Amino acid sequence: MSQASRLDYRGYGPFLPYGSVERVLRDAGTVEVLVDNDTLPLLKRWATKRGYYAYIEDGNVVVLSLIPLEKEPGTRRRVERAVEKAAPEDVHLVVDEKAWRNDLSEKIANVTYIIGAVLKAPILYRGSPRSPAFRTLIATKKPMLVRVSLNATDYFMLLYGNHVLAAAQLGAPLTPEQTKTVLEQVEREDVLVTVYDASGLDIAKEVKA
Amino acid sequence: MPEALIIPLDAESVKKLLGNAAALLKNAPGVEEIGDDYIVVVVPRLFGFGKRKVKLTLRTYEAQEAVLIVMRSGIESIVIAMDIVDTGEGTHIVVSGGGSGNVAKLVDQLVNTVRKNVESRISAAHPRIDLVDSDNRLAALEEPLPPRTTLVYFDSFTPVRDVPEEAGLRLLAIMGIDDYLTEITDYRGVYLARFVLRGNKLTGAYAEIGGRKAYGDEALALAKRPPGHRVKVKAWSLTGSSEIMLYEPEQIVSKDSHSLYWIGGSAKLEHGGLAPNTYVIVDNYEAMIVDPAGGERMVNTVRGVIGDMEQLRYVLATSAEADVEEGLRSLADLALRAAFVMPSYWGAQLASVNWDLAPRVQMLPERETKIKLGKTEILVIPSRSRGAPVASVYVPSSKTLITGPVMGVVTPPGMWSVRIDNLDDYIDSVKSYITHTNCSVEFHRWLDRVRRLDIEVLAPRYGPVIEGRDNVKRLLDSLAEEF
Repeated sequence: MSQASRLDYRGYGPFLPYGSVERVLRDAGTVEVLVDNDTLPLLKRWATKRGYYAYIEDGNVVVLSLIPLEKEPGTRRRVERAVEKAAPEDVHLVVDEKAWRNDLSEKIANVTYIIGAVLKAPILYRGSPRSPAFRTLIATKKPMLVRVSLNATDYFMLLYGNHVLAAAQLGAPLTPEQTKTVLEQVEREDVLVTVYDASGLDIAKEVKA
Repeated sequence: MPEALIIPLDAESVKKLLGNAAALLKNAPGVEEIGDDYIVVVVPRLFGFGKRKVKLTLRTYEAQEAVLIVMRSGIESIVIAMDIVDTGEGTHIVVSGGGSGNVAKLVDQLVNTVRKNVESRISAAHPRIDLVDSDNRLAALEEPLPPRTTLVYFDSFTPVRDVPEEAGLRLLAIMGIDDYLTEITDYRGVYLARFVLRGNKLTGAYAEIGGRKAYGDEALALAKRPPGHRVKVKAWSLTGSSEIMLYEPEQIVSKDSHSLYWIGGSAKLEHGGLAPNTYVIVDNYEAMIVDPAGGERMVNTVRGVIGDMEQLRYVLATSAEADVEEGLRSLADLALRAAFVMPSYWGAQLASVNWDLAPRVQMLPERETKIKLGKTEILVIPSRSRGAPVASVYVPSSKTLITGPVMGVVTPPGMWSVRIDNLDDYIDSVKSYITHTNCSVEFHRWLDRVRRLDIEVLAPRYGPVIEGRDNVKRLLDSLAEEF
């Protein structure tokens, strides 16, 4: 069983390597950070402002997570469960040609629609598509909007789990074939992806239907 | 005579946009391969019988106003020079070259290619306009900003042709690609433009100029024309970037002929979260800089505030750690009439790293001292921080206490602001900072002293400024209870 990531920053005071904490969190999905007592409120405030979920436990431990953890006593157990639930290595994005929605591709090609959606939807993840945290997310059966920033161009994909059901470059819908090419680059190159929770968007209802 | 390319940007932004100078040789006729430190060119043989390949070493040298690309192998050499001169009304780039040996035949082609590549790189960096209603409303502040929004850039410049375009280019050059809300204002209060930049697309615009309000295309047309003088640019990252560049002075106090300015400098907050502050006190045409942090850009900003460096009387370091030591070094050649003042311990420290400046240092004793600046008497209060003697500076004319390193807060990425947002959170952070940088006995002694002062502005060494007598009192009372 994989171990929950744990960073021991006791004795650092508030002078934490915030960048490192964020990198581990994005890679692992969940991380326990041990800090001095006086640093707990600052770390929690920072994490919340960054859009992460933060729980204070056991006196001087802050548990940070990309996704909300189950509401049950014992955060450490929740962390282990979150890690246990992490997706297996072979979960990747796949283009679902049978369920492909040209109409939704048109919709997410619309800049007005996308910007409205991006402003409203909470960010679930930002980082490399190769990280376990990303695989954990795409293994969950929920509608998500993924923004892929590649060569200064933004591509958007509508996912249900790891199935890509619609895709667009801003201003132009993509075909399943074009989307496969983008996914190949996502696998091959060092790209930044941002995953938005699409549950609250109108397109989510159409995906479930 | 080579013709100059004129780019409506400062030289620093231009250099950042150009990036790796050697890569500007790419696709030049006669260039077969470019490596990290070599280039292979193809030149005609001496008597015109076919061609031969020549491998040359490739080096790039950057001077203040020029970039040199030097390629050589024995007597064969090519030197391409790019003069990058900031005229104050745009940067002029002149590309020229010369060479020796057979490869010198390629010079003109290489010069033309570099010139074309410079033009295309600058052109590619221009933000494309792709306006959408929701971002027009965001620019007008009619939509809520995302919770991660954080101030990351604060600077000023004199626009030349197109204000939003030049501001966008500067922002992208200095801060890199991100989603930003950018605000441009002038100093007379008649020009305000805001725009949203997502990647290299300008997606929202709003302007209020000369009593007119406009959105989208109309706003861009209205905001395009420079107001005829310098403008301030503030940019907020909408995604919570961790790098800050804050070089526009913020006037914290202005009373008659007395002013106090704050300058934020630059910091990478992901590495520990310390953002140093520089303060400039101006009283009756005399100026004092307290804790100058940073290099050339800090100096340029200070010059914008003080104008005539002859008016600079004092550069005071409350302590001289790495950030301030760099600032002292940067000011040494410019502040020729100024006294460099610091606690004796830091003067002694400086003597081991800066032999030129050490003889000019006036050391402060570990007792209260008064320094006359204009018509005000500034009080220097000794204290300790990290076990070493440091100083705080009380300015009676503006009732401001510049605390030095005795007080500050850590500001993690995405949480930066000039002024405090929430006093309770701030007090928590101050307590945490003091716990890890001071001993309670020394801190309490300092606190006892400064609580007897009438303070309206508390200006710490790191993090936001606190304004208002009640806020300052609540903070100091709370610290007195804790320590």
